[in-house]
Amino acid sequence: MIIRLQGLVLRNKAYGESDQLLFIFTRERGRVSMIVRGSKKPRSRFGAVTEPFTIADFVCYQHSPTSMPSLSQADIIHHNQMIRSDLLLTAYGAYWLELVDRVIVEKEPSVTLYNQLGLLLAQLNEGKDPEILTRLLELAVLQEAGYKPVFSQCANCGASWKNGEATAFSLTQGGMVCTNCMTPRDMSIKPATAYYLRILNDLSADQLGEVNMKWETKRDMETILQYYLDAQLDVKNKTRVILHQLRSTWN
Amino acid sequence: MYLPEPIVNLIDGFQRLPGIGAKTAQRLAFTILKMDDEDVADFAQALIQVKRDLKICTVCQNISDQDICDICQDKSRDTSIICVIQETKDLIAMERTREFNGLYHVLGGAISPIEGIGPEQLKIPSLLERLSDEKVKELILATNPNMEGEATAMYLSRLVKPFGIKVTRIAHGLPVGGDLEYADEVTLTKALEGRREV
Repeated sequence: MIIRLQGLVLRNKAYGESDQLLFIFTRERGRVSMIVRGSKKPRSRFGAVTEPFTIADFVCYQHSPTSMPSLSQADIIHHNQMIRSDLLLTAYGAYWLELVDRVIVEKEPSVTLYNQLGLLLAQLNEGKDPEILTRLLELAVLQEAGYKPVFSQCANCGASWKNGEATAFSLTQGGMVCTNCMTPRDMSIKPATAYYLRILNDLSADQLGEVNMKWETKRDMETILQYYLDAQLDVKNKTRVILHQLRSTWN
Repeated sequence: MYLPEPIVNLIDGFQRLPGIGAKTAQRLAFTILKMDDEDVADFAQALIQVKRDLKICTVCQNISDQDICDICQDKSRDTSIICVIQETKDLIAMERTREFNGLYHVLGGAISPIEGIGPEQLKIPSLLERLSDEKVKELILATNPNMEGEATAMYLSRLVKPFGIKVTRIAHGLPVGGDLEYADEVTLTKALEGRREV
């Protein structure tokens, strides 16, 4: 059986002497794994297509419905080479791919997340602020996992926000809460951080323009979203450790 | 199926090797059974020796049976050039070319953000030590032309900059004997970037 897919390479794994296992994220079938024979040999046509961040059209042959598809043809659509040419951007991208890989499942379509990831990678490749893009990706991953945070109104009582009102992030409520609903366990949020979180939460990657944000606001947004991600997805991101390490030493 | 314990242990042992499944392990175990006693003893001895006698060269981090490997001890080699490679297997490939007469440094892997492998897991401090001690003029970064290899090369090139040493990267491009029409756009772009005057 011939399978035709368009997908984004999440990761590859050495298999045997010169083969690789390729894990791709597809719009219609979620995560798909396939074997790429001989891809580590210099004359292989599949050397470049197995690199992470590559978006390509894949043609695979599957011997039986239970067997692993084998790649027989691939045409690169976007190679996102600029990401791979910069160590820090590679670390950001790797963190994104690991997050996405945690929430997608085989044979289940993830159209919104696929589109958002493709757009965000293109913007990362063009040199847009990786911190803002990372927050958008984290919000998209949370939405895909069914934990989209509530920022547009109080997550507990539904009250709308007054200008400059003090707010806090509640893990149990899954969003921002007003002064009346906040508890000592909640994490207080500065007005500027709350403002940007509200905007980013409902923004698609293609709507993002130039954003001038203070370094502290970016850090606060990161702290809140990663705190929420860790609590809801319960995963330990090895790529995030590398990203933090490189971010502090590389710039 | 009943099998005596010694052969079960041998099958289990072979199965620990990469790419060897139950069937292959069984076939290998029965081949051992058919071999002469002397050959089996030699084979067993080789397995023990490889773990007991092999060391890591204190200079280049390559595997060796001495504290300093033959390449590092070779006086005819050009000590002003160090070629940085990921694994010992890469050293064998480089030596096959017979074109390189410098020294090596084996990193023991590559930076891989996806696998969570950071620079601190590689043998970079010993490389920096060599650069400050030895009279090195050029550092060739011969890590693999993939995401991990590129990340490592980028990291090292920046790290080595303060030493004022010439840092070069091995060329990327089309394989000898290959056809241009079958090359992908990433490889072709790299080949164009690395073109040279003839």
